[in-house]
Amino acid sequence: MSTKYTIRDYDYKKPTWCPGCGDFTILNVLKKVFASMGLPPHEVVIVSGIGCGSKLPHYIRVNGFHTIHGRALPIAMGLKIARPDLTVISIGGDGDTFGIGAGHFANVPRSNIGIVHLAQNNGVFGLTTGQPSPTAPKGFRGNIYRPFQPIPVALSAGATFVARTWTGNPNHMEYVIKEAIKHVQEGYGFAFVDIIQYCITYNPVIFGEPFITYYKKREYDLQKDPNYDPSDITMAYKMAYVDGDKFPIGIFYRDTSQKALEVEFDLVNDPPALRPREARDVREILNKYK
Amino acid sequence: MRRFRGISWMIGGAAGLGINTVAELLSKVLVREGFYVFANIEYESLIRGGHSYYRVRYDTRPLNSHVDYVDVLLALDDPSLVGDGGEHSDGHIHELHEGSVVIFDRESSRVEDEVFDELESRGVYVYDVPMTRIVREAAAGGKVNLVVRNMVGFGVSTYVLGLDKEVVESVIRERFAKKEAVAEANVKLHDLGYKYAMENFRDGRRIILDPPSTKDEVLIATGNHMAAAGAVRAGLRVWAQYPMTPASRIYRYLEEVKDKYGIFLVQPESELAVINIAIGAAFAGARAGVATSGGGFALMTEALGLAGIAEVPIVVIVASRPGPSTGLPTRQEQGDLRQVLHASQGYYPKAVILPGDPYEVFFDVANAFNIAWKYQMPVIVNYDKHIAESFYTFPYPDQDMYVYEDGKWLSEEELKSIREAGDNYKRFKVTEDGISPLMDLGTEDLVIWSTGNEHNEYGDITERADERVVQMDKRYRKIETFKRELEERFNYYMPVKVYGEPDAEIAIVGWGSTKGVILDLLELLSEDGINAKFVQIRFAYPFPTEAVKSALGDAKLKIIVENNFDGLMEGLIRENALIEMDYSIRKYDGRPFSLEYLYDRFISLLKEVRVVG
Repeated sequence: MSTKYTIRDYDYKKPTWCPGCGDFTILNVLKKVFASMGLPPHEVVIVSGIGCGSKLPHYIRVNGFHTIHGRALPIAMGLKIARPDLTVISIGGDGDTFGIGAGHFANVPRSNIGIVHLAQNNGVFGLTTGQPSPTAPKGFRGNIYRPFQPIPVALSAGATFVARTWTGNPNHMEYVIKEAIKHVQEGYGFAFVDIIQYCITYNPVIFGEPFITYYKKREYDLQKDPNYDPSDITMAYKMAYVDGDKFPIGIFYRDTSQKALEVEFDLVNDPPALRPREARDVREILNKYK
Repeated sequence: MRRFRGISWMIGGAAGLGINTVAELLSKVLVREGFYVFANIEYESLIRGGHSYYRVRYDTRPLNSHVDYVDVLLALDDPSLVGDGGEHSDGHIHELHEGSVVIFDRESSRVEDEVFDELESRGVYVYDVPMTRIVREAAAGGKVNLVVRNMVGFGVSTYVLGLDKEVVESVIRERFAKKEAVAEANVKLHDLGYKYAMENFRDGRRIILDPPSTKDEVLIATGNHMAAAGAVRAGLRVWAQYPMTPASRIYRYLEEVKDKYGIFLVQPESELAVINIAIGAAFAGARAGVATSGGGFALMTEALGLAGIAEVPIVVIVASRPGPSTGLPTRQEQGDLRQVLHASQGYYPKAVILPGDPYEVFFDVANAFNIAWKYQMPVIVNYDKHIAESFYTFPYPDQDMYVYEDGKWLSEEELKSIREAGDNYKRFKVTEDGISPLMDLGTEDLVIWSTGNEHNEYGDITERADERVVQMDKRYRKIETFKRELEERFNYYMPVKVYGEPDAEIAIVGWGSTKGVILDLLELLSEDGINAKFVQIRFAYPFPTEAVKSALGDAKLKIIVENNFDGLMEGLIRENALIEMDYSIRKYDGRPFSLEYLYDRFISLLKEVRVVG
């Protein structure tokens, strides 16, 4: 891979996030990933939904489409169909991905379209002042629901790459996101990365412990476990439900036996959006109705 | 019972009995013979059972509407004749008149003899054809599929109507071209029906219209057929659609041609996904479109505003049916005009086009893509079930009348000067005409930022009051520019059409699918010596205010005809042109206007207001 890009090449506006927000980590890691993979800014597109984290495209010099709540995934899908030659990343919060956009999270992976979806998962709606999100524990600020389980849902929805990382371990995040982008680049299809973070303003404490301390203590890197096989979906399901003392991070599942949608339909070498912009002769269609 | 010109044939039966096939075959045969056909179906929201009926009306001259009476009724089951106590049907016996013909299988029926005595006394001629027995005998001990009784009934019909058997058989073979054995079986069954009628009803009543001596080059197709063709014509690349009656079939028609034309088709999880996939594809530079009905459109609403503020060119076809909610899912209404006009929060530029028949649908859908891309905004084409699913006969569209017009893209030189200045691309550059030039994603060293938030020229979020005003004004200027284009190219877009004498004192106003029946009404009125004109409004936004004013002119009596409850276009005219209609004729029973229904209501209205005695 070329190294002609540096992190500074991806700099753009100064973020408006709260000081100390995990979104800064995600932003910096993305720049690092793009630079180290040699991805030219103009060949990357980030599509985001709505929320603090979804403002990310405004703070990085790659193509960015900041859209509406919950719809980053289908927009990214349409974009990738039209321009499969570009690296397309969709990003949204836990409300975006697992709440209002849950219908897309359950279905877009089934298409195995080659996009990376990053979920900024902090258990809270920050921008609207701290309401519980779909991944909030039951009882949190009046939450009547049990928390949404991103990993098993992603597995069931047919994502061919399913991983988890967190903002307290930027090196791990860099590794996982890179692997996710590679999975897509190699034509294997949809990659999902659940990024556990906190909301420094509205959800900084996990079960009485500071976020960083809580997860640092429990962090369990799947890729350091010689017995863990990410190609085995039953292991992935089992690990997805491990909670409490152990906080598994890393690649839960990687299926390299499937072709990405854009590969299967041979769109990559002939992107629909780059085909000639011209009128088509439809007499053959009209003649059917003679 | 007053009869109008042409012949009205009907097939009735439960869903699943193959009424569409026969009606469509007959329509095609008639067109091949040189006739003009108008064919429309009424069906229920179920897969099997219930009561459906398909009308085929034809004449030697163009016609654009159906009538309620029936000259030839092919009744495949008892409810088609006498109803089923009103659960699904009241039957069509009351639509028959002295001189009508009924094709019916009495031996497989429970309809009482008195019904037939009564029909006879009314001068209705019955072809009692044992369609079930003929099918059983034809199967010769093999597997019996009673659905094919429809083809026997078709054979009797073509005999009664005196149609050319060779033409009929070639049309059947064409329809089943992919399966030769099926084609031949159908030809045979048709032949059995035809021969049975000929041999057993030597003096039977036949209703024969001589074909016209010259054949015009016409098509017979529905609005949905032409929507698909129009989209392909305009260079469609990505199409997303979730099934919803009466728009569903557009997807099927595109599927038939997607490989040849390189169109990517997707049926995702919901209309939310549909519109957003299209927005993503269009954002990436591909011509993308979607189709739905009112309910699906409601789900698309929020994303439509995103396309508005982020200036993404998308085309949305809305084929309406009666609401609210699921309403009458397979029926007819023009009830969504305000919904499509006002979908999504806040103001954003858009165009709303209202084609009046399949011929217009072809060009309007194709032009919708031009408009969407030239002005970088959503364009909605709204028609209804009556246009979507009825077969019209219309001149073969000259595809060259549509000219591909692209959006404004930055030139290589302009891109170079942005790079040299060390600047970034301004996705929302403020320009005089409001149109900010487009740039392809992936352009060397330049990136695009866009957002559904208010933004500055670069697509950065802004909350500044001055930048908000600048961008709102910029977006609105696109509409001003488009309005100028509509005026300058009036004859290309035809936002308003006038039929009949331009200075007639009676102006009938309509939009969308009422066009056909109003045109046929004009003809009847002129036979009655009543001078009227028809003003067809084809754009809801931007509203062609001046054109509407001048089309209405000094008309003394302005009557608007709408297939809805609350007079949506009437309100739009009042709001935009400050013109009050004198009277309105509305219909909201979920059925389209038939010719005699409209004629009767029109004449009684004229009597009421003493225009005629």
